[in-house]
Amino acid sequence: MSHMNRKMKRHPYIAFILPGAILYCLLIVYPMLSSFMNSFTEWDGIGEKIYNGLANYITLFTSPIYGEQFANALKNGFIFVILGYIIGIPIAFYFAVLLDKKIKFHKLCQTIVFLPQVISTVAIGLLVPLFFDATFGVIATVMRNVGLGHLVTGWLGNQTFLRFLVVIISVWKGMGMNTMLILANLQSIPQECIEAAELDGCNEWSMFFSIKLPLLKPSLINVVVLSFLNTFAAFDIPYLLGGLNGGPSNCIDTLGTMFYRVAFGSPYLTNTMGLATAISVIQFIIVLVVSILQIALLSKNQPE
Amino acid sequence: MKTKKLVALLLAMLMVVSLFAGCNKPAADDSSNDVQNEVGANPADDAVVEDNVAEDNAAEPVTLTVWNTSAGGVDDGYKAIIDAYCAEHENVKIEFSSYTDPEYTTKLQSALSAGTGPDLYFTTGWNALQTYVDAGYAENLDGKLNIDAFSQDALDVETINGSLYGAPGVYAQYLSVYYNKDLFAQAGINSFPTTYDEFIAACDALKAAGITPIAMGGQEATPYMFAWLISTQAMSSEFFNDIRSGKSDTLADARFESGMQMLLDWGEAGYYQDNYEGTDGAMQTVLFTTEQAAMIFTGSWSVADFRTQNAEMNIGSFAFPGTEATYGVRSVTSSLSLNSASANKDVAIDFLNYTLTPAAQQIMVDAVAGIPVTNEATINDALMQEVATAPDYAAFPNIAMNIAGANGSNPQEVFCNYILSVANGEKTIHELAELMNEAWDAAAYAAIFQ
Repeated sequence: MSHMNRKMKRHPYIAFILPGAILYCLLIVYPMLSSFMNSFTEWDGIGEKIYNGLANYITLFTSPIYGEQFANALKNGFIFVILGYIIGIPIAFYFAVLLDKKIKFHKLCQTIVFLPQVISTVAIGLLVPLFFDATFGVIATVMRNVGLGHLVTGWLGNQTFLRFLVVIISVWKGMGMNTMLILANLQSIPQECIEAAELDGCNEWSMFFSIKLPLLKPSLINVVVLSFLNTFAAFDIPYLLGGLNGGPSNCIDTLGTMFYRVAFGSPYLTNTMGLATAISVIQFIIVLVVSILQIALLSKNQPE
Repeated sequence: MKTKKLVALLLAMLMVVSLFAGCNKPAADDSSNDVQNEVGANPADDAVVEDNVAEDNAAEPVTLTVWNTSAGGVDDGYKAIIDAYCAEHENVKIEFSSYTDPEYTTKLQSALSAGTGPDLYFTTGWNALQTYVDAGYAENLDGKLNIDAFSQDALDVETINGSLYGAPGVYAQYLSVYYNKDLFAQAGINSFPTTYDEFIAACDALKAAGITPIAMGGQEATPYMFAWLISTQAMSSEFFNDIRSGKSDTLADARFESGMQMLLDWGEAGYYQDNYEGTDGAMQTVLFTTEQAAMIFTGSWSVADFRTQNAEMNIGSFAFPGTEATYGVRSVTSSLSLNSASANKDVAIDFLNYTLTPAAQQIMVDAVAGIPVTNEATINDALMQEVATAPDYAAFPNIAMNIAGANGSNPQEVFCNYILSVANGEKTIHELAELMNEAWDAAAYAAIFQ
């Protein structure tokens, strides 16, 4: 029996992992590493790559043209994450607790809560102007017909409104998954704990805050980290609502939309592929570091 | 035992191969969907054009691949030309694929790099074509195309380093002011304005008659950009002359800024529709075609949309009368380049030459309601006839404001990025002009005109 065969016999999982691992390396790891290398070059995406050291990173932080856009995209990313947490997590908890109570039609409610998750973001993006356009939109038309026309403004040109809209749509779209994660965790809480607390005279509130909530830490970690990953460098919703430039004054521009704009946004931009790659590398590093920090902080004092 | 292992191995191989099946989707299939989505083609009107009627059986069968971006709205024109070409060359099958922008650029670059690029591909000419020439993916076409009928400005689009690297576009686009003649008449205006004062008077008269003078998609940068590309020249032609002659080399100049300031002044004066800051480009067109606004700054590429949305509309067009010049932009379109790695160069060149024949020019001009750049095709669209005979359209290399400057950016990109900040009062016009100047290569601009 050859050495390889012996190894396979002892570690049979290798045979199962190998095809996937090779594909993963080819399609994910290699492009990631090559992106990292490209961020140190001046490159138009097709021709020769010219090594330019840290020039792309310096441009991102100091150039009058890109520096401001980059800082703004970074700021927007964090604003969307924080607002997403403040609005989204309590809503997900609320629905999870409600569904756990096995209310009437809870199966149907479960489906309704999960539904936004499967609705195409593109469809949502196309619906927004139909609703909010100041001239032809449904809301403006209804308001004008009921005598509230004076309250109609150019909502889609309003920066605060657009930011709020991005957060609301992100929360609404992510609500289903977050609710299901928390619900699954809620349903896995051992019945003995609940019964013991009930015997000790625990009321509904203290049952939730003192018993259930600490035991929900695993799902909370998932929700916090996944929401961060999905929101921080969101591309689809800001792009659909704000276009290539991330809305008026780049108000909903994120690192995702900025990367796209710099890399592919215009046939007239030249040699910006390296710069765009530098944006994606910084985005990757931020997401990695923040996610590790979140997991480390939230995993502390995890109940046994 | 051995058989079991063999079966297991075969199954595993099958599984791995099936994983790749999705990755190997033929480009033509891919694009068929794109084409159908983008231009509304039905399955019968497939992007893949085949013609197997044998006329010359001796000729070896050849399959050419042609890639285009659907953004230019010329798919129908190319498909009709391909049909006509294949009818005359039975041995040639042409697979035509069209992709949405900007995915098109990504797909094309990936395919060319991987050696699987099409035989012929569309570029926007100028520095976009330069990229492919520099990378060695565009064939030098000097002396290979019948270009005698084409003017220099048509050839300039496809000329890189003094050599021709693409077939010239056969029609020009006209960026100008399109207006609703009936609404003008309603407001008592009987002819289009020829001076800036007349333009303002027309806006005031329209406003007084309860008609929105100008449709503006103030939620996006592009509608501002189209208006600015015209107005900036018309309001400050002296400044541009100075730049061209090398007398001035900065965009941070009050004369340059006046063209941008005017766009904001019109908003202040109420010449745009109510809540224009919340209207996007698509809705801006709808405002014009539903006859709620009398004028729109756009290019001739929008005429097809005007016709689709309101076939009865009585549309006219005029070059914008500024304080210093009357200006409309005549921009010759680009066309196909030949992949230097193509295995069918002779047939591809033959096809490129076919696109330049009077018959093919006519097909394209009719398909896009364009204005031909040679006298070998005629204009059948009434509005386009009016535009073509207007005297004030300056031939304008569209590279002028998007020639690459610092960090690969250019003034036009910077304008698009920040004009809404200016409109919102977060930046001043001067700050915008200074930022645009950062991305400006004055010497390269001046060189175009020497």
